[in-house]
Amino acid sequence: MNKHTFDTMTTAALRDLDPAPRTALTDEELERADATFARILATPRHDQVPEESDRPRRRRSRLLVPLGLLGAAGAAVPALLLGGGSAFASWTPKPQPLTAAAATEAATTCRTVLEVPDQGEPVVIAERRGGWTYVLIAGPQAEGFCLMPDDLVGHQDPADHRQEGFFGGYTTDPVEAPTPPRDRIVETENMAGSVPTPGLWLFSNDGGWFSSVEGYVGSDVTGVTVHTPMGTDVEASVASGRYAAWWPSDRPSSENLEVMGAWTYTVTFADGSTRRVTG
Amino acid sequence: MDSTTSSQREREQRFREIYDSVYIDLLGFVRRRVHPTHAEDVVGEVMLVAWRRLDDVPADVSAARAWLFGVARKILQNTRRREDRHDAVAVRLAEVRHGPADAGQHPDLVAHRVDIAAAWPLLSALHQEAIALSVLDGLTAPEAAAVLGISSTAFRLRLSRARRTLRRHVDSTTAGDRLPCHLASDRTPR
Repeated sequence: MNKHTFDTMTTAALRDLDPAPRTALTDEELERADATFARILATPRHDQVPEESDRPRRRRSRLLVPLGLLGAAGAAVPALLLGGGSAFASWTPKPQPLTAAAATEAATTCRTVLEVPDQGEPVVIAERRGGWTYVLIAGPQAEGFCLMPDDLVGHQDPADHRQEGFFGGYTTDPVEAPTPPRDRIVETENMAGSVPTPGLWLFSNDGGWFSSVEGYVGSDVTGVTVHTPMGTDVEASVASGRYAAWWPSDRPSSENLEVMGAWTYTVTFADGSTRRVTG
Repeated sequence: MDSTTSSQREREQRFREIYDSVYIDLLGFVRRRVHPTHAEDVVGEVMLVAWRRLDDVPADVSAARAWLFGVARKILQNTRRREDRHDAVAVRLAEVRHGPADAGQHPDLVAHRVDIAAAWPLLSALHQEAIALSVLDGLTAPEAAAVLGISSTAFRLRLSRARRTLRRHVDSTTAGDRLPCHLASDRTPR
């Protein structure tokens, strides 16, 4: 085979072997591309590092281990600016509230997987961000929350969730409800966690890391925005005097200090005015 | 509308144009280099860099594409820096599949594909990268050179060496019996 023939055939063979031949995006890919676009525009143009006096004292009170979390990862985790690994590719900064029926179903799945009895605690917050459902159930005696992929809502076998990515927590000793001033909020919980996302190459064992916050709002507060340390603004769900939000993050580590950084809040009032607060 | 709002809108408009015109090609570029499940995240990170450095993105679409490929390559280099410090970013190929699609093709081309698939892992990442930029990513020599941060002449030289090395590997792995399922690297060089 002469050189020219060899090169021509090689080009043809390589194109046949292209792992990413050019094709139009699928509907799902298009949806994720649009979600990413929205997330990028939601980041501030310039890094808006809050003034030191504006930084709250962080109470990173617990680092929960999810059901089914993979073992300690050996591979380096990339400090993706948007964070969270591929698990949260569809995540959106603005939550979509669930219908009452969907909220009830999510709460039922949450209780089932956490294997806790239904003591009639109401669903306080139920939202969807991209392909993930978050539900917070809270009563005087017990409180629990779950973060799970939408397509697992309704599956009642806990084993499914342990394999597929699920994060939840439950306590029979909830924090006593604080009474924030009318124009303030009180953050009662913040945590970092991860759901398992199997990876095969380069980013092996790269769990989908996220951060989440919960708290109580004053009676005049109608909206809460979290300014995350990674620069994204996240709209929290606010209902029944509570707020909650979560966002894709990265594995907290000494090499990833920005993940551990402080976040701040802006609260919105009924008349549309806003105020920056520390939570 | 004040000028800040207008300028912000123009920025978003320009970013939208870049995003829409380059997204698919960038996704392909990244998919050739990382596990497919992570490709969209890397693309997201590249696009975030483009948003933050919008003024640095070349106006010409083709040049903008090469600029974004260069950013993607740097991000991929950085993610693996802790493990090894290869300057080049390796490129993977699809598995060889035999199927009905082979039927209409010349047997020599089908065989050659098997040979290339076997020889590819023997190439250095430097050479894989040069060939892929030209053949798969569809860049001109000056664009590929811009991605790598080298001169066009240096790129042409590298590409020529890479093609020669690939041919040598193909020749050495096909000199004996053809064992398409066997790893080329397991064979005794002939």
